[in-house]
Amino acid sequence: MQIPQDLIDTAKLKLKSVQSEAEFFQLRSQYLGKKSFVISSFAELKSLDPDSKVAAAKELNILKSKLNHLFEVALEGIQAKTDVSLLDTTLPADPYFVGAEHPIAEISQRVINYFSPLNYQVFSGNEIETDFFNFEALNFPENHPARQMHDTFYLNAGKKSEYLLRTHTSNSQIHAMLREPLPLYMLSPGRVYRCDSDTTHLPMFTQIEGLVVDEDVNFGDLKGIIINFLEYFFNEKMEVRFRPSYFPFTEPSAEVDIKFGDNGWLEVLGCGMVHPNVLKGCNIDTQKYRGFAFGMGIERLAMLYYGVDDIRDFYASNLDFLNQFSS
Amino acid sequence: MKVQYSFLKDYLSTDLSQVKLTDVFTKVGFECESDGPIIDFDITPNRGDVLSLRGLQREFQAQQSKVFKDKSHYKTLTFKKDKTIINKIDKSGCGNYQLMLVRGLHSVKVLDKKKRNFLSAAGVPLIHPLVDLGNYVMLEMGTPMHVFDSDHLELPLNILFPISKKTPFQAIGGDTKIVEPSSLTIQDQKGIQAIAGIIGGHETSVSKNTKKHRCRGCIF
Repeated sequence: MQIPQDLIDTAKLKLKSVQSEAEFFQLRSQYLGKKSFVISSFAELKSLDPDSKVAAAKELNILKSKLNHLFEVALEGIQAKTDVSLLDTTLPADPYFVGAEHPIAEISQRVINYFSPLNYQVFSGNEIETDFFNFEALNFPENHPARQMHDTFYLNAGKKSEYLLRTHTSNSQIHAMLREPLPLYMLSPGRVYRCDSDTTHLPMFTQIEGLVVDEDVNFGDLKGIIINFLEYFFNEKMEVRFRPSYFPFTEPSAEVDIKFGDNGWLEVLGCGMVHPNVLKGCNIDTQKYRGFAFGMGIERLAMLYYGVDDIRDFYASNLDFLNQFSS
Repeated sequence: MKVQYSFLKDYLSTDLSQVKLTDVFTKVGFECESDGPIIDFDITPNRGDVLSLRGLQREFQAQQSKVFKDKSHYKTLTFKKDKTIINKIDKSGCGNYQLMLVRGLHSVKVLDKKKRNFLSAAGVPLIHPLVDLGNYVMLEMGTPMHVFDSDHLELPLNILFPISKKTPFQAIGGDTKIVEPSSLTIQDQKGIQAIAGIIGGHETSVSKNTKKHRCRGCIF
């Protein structure tokens, strides 16, 4: 009878990787169960001649007792690991990390918190958009120089493609005006994409767009709501100015600056009365309804609110930076 | 549009500091940033009328509640219609187009230093006194000007809008551009010599050695 010499060594190796009692008992039955080599070898002793039988039985008994001892010691070790009474309760606990909202998500929520009680519905739009919803329907005709203000990422580079990554959240305005009944009060937060990157610009950033279409709205309403919102947002009385500007989808258009300490005037958002061409394109009676719209960059608001100088810090996944905002 | 503060201050006849002047323009809708002595105006796409010194002057004087005083110097020239020079103008794309032949340019007076500095600050390279003058008039008046080398131009010209198909065109500097059918083009008997108001052709471009020129000014 041939007894493998490395049986004990392989058993030792396998025992090292055992994690639980269940695994242990499975392994023990492999080595000491009815079908194991050791036990089945005892049954084969009958067929041996008397001299060989004595020698083989002696060897098998030694092997069996070694394996028994090996498994007994291992079992004690495994049980000690799981025995609660042996736990050292004075050891300091492992650090417990609590997740927190990203500052950009917090600022978005802060903006939504102002407008939600005023009955603004929140819409999410498409990030992959057609040229029609991103430009045409917003009064940007093909080849209009205003399209150059938006450094657009077109999909299927090289070929003229109908699809692009939206350059502003204003595309949601069109979807909402075509779909929802009037009067419409909406807010659309989301990611937008432009081919631009420096300390104040990112190729992907977040905007919130607001749109009101109703019978008796005017630029005065727009001014009132913007000033009130900025005072709510920054939690102080603000000096605000409206500068004439140009967006193809609003007329008149304005950019809004706030006086910010010693830094002078800082631009925070753009707004205006919805251009009649945009309303007409959405089958809205411009004799009855008028609208105003506004849009703001969340990263810009966050930079002003938290006093961050480099917009790229928000997306660098640096926990030292992000942990400052967890509350 | 980039303009030196010192030049603009004289042009607008104002004593306002650079900071105050940029603030005035920002307030009326033309955001501007200072880069040292140069003010960079961000003119929105709906206000092409402000893309010139005269346009800036108009806005500034309106903001200051002053009557607009045109500072440009005019000399009236009499133009005559000649089909052997300009054969056809597509009026839907171009209101007016004039061509002037300048001969015998043995010595041309260069622009004064102030105007040359103004052109350099605006990012316009100095090429030839006549080209520089054309560029200055363009930036002062907001009217596109171009100077052709007459030796390479086969008259009469046609000012065509739109054109029948996409056409390759070698622009100043040697780059080949594809001209879209929706472009307004200046064509001589050989083909496209300029994309109107945008860029001239390489073949008819002017160098220091050019002896004969044709200047054109137009209203689109």
